Amino acid sequence: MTKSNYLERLKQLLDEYNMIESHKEDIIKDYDTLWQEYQELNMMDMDIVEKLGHPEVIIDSLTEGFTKKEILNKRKKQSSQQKFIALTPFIALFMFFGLGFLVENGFMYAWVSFLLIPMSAIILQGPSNIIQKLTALSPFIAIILYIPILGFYFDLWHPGWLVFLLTAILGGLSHPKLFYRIFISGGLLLTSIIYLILEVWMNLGSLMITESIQLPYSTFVFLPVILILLWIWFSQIIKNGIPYLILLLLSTFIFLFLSIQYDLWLIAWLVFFSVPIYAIVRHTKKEEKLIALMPLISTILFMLIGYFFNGWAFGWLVYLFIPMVAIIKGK
Amino acid sequence: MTTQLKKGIIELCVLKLISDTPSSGVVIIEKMNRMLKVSENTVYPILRRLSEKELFQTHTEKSDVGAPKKVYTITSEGKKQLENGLHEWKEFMTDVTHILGGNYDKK
Repeated sequence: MTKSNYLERLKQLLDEYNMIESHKEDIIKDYDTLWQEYQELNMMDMDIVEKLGHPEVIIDSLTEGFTKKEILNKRKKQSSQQKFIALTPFIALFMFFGLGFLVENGFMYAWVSFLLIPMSAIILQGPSNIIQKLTALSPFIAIILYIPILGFYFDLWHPGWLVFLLTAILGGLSHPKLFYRIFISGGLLLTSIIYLILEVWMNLGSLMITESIQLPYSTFVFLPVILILLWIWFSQIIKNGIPYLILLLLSTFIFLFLSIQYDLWLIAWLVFFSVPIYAIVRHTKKEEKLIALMPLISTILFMLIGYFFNGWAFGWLVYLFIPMVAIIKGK
Repeated sequence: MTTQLKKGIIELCVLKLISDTPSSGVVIIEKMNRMLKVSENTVYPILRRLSEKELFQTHTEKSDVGAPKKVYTITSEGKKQLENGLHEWKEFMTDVTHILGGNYDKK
């Protein structure tokens, strides 16, 4: 390393800190002088670097009391993100009343604006990995797609419920091995498509299980994928995966039963929340559990209040629990 | 020895060296390395920190052979700091000597 290389590298490293220019210049000038003094003692460049310390090694002691620009920018960004998240309940409230009063039957859809609260928190401060971020967002994306769009607008409660498999499909994509990614996500996606074709276009009719329970024949197309998933989980001996599989299967059957038997398409999908709720309870840190659960709990409460007490107009207030809990439980 | 304690002692030694003889960076670094086996690259950041605290002032001295040198001289504030440091060090050493000599009754 020559003197100019040394000083250039030192300057580069100093530039990463929020240090005023004159300070940096001073340090560079000092090292320049020290280098010259050692040179006058007939020392080789390599030995001088040894004496002065490699820039990467000395930078910490030279920048004591200074913060890296990168960290400062990150803090600044986080602070503006937190401000935005704190504002979302108010933005959602404006959107709710705006849509409710200005659009015909607007209150049927307007409550969706409250999903902005958990969604903005996930987008801005959730996992940095895009697949994990999308998986965390997927229950909310599914709600938006299912209730206002597929359900109320197109009256496609069935087979629109398939959007709730989005979480499992995206979750499968997070698997570290390509083979399993293809089997889990590809298998579920392909099965959903086959199911759609069989159920919607070929209209196979129903299977009478008992006098009160009828399932569409096409539902059984899920059996192979369920068996494959079972095989994947068992073959990996991942005991942790089995509860998810059981929950997903149970949720699907409970959902289909409640929806087909009692025409509860609008509300029965809530059973799919059992999967993310289980994941949060099991894997989230104790102090963050309630914060992570609140978006799901609020949505369940909102739907129950709306459906059973016709409280769509005021039920949205439960979404205010999300920022309240975050403030109380947050650091 | 904790890093913090070591750092404090090195600072005191640098103050003493410069108080006795105003010197250039390299001379101080070399003396410290020779006498205390302190890694050379830890001395300059200390020199810089103490200069920022105005315990030293610097001036450039022209040399007949070679480039001009930056020479560090102790300030009155530096002298005060050195005096306090030496006092604390002597007290500390006395206490340590007592303890190591098995004399726990002092004070």
